[in-house]
Amino acid sequence: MIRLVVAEDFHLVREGICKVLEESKDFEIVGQAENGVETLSLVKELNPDVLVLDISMPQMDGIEVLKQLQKMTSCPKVVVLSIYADTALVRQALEFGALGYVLKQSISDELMDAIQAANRGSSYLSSGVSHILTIHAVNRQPQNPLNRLSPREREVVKKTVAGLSTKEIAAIFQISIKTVEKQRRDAMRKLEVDNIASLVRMSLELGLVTDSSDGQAADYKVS
Amino acid sequence: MDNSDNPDVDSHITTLKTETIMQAIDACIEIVLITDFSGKILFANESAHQRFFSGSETIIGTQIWDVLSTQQQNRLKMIVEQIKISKQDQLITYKDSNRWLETKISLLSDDEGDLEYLFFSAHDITRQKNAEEQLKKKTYELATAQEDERHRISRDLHDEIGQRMTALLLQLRSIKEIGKKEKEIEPEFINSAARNLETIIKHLRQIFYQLYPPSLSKVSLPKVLEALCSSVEDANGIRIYLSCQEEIPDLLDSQVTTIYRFVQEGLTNVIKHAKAASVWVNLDYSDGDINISIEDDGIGFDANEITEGVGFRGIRDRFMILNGCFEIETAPEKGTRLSGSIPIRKKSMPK
Repeated sequence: MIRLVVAEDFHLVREGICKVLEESKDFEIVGQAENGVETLSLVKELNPDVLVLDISMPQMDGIEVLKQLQKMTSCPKVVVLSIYADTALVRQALEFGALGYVLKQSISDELMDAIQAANRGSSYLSSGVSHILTIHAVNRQPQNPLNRLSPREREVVKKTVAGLSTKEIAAIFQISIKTVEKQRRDAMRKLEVDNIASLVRMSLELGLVTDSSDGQAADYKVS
Repeated sequence: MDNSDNPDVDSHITTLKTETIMQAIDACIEIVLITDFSGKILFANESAHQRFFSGSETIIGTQIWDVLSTQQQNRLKMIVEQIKISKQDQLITYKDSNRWLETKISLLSDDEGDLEYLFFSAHDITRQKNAEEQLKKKTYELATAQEDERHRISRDLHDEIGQRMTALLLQLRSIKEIGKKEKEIEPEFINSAARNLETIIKHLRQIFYQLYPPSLSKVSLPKVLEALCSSVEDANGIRIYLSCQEEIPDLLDSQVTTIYRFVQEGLTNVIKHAKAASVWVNLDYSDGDINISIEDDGIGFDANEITEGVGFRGIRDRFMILNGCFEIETAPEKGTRLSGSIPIRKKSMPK
């Protein structure tokens, strides 16, 4: 028997969820909560195996509940239940330790599987949101750091390495000195360097500038 | 203020000479004119000279009507007649050559108390008038944008939700009819109704998201932007490089929404117009400002030829309201760079 606490503010939905879950002999609903604060205290009191957690709840929303649960020494596995397929919300929930994310429209098909999976320590995403993890994975593929620089940022770096002053670069692009400084700072953040000497070295390493094409990058007027 | 106990102040006032008062009137920022009833100018201060007569000659002795258009002359003559009868001051507002003037006309009397002169004092209210016009225009734009938005939502609700709900109702009725006849209900009937309802929920979710992404109030801004960029990237086959500084201080809802709408509107424009392969989005915090920019490698445009659309104007207004700024840099074949920044007060600023 998997011991469950169900947290959902809308009572009709909560009743529906419980009805679905009670059909199975695998689950025992030990507590029901209708807001985030109540959820936390029930979890502490009853120590369930799995918490079924709605995202949008009064007083304290599901994301905040997840955050608070992380601070506890022993906390239940969590399956998030939400009407939203919002990518950022899904990622945030997973990052805060949720193992499952089930869309409310798929409760009857997927909730039981999600709870079983969570109880085993595996993750489960509703079919409507499972693509989110693949997008996530694509974005995290290693890439040439140069690609991360916008065309303007590359130009600003090239001109900096060539020894032009901030004022001169601002004049070339007809932008303010403050903007040049900002664009150089953005470039340095993306290349993970914190001073001009490292910026020059990195630019040479990545092939953004070559010794011959941009002249000797010796005399930096950046201040 | 009672100065009776202070002889110094008192004597100071009594010794203020007419000449000094005249100097003050001359230096006054307001236009001051005195004419007789025929309209002959008897006195005009420096501001009046600058306003009505840019040369070095004096306008004293000339007719006030000479500096006015026929229409203005007729209006002023009527007002003067009214003042003579009512003996009440009159306030009039008029426009000439793109400047707005607000003028007060009063009667002045001589020593015997006979009414003899007309006193005009006027000030330039062009700035105020322009601001009023601007406000009217913005209010109109806002109302129009709001109506357009409502129209779109109403259409979505009608087409995607209303129609399907009607279909669902019909499906349920026919299931009920079958049940009445004590026939067996085929599972496919119920499944079809459930699928219909699932589609309704899916569309509703999209409408919620467009109105206000639920994550905006629950998740940190870089994460929300990451999700926005990856979904746009996924749907449009464009490469988006998002770079967010890790340490972003807590922002107000209005600031978060402004930055989110900036990125959303900016990306929409890149997709629609720029023909770009890549987009770079930067979010960072420095010198007390939160900065956001979007740069693309697309076709750009001639900023002199294309006027700012309603979307961008809306975004610009949002930045203005938060004391921030918004800029567009572009040229044909040079891509487009949008940037915005908002000054923020960090909650615990290290001194």
